[in-house]
Amino acid sequence: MLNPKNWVALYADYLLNYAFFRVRDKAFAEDLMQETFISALKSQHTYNGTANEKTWLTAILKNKIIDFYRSKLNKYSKLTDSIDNNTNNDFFNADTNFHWFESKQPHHWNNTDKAIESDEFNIALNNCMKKMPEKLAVVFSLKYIDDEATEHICKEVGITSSNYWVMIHRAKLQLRECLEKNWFKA
Amino acid sequence: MSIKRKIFITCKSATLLTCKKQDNALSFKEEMQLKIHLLVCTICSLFSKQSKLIDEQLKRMNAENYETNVLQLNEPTKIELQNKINSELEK
Repeated sequence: MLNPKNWVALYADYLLNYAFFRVRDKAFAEDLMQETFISALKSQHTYNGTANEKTWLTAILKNKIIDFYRSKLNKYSKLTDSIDNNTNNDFFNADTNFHWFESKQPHHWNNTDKAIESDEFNIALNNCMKKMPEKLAVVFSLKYIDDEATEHICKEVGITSSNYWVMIHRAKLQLRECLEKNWFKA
Repeated sequence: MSIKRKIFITCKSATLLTCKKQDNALSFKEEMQLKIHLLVCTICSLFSKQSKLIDEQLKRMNAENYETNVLQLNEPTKIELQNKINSELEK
């Protein structure tokens, strides 16, 4: 049974945080949460009782987030920084058979065991995530927050799996480099 | 040359395959290519190790974040929103 009279008290904060965690914008997360309730009211008749109320509302919100992700990726794929074979050639030198550029090579990290347990490391990781270009952040959120299968992610946001891997590759290269600069060398 | 290319991959490919490997998305051929590359390339081995560490940490961090409510809607907004829902219900 749906009970919309209790929705805000029971689910507003939950849905707000769910959205915020994924879109990283407070005002926008609030809009999404409100829209979720409105959409849910309009599609009450589709509720068949198999999922509980919270799960059902979350699924509606999730669809809205996926729409947002898809529009972000579409917008960016139209820009000049298209994903192709040349992507990531700022890390690997095409003239030396795609060996690492010396300035981009990973260096040994000291005391990684201790480092990962510290709050500072998580702060550095968070800061590096924030610096990530939006397009990459979208793909990264899908992979790490919702732990979705690759095929499913690609289908949902409308990208090919090879584009997906190139984006994950790029995100990982940038994130690793940022962490090394801001944490392990600090 | 082409056989050589099939066995020996570039650092660019090896790091991409490293990302795929963490998702168990490698074919048998790719698995072999990556293994051979990592045997001879210390830089990519380092990347692989650090990449794994980052993955584990991200997953841990997300699991923790998921449990905590960072934001809380203020009461007036909540009341306003519930009123809006109630008035929709009466339509």
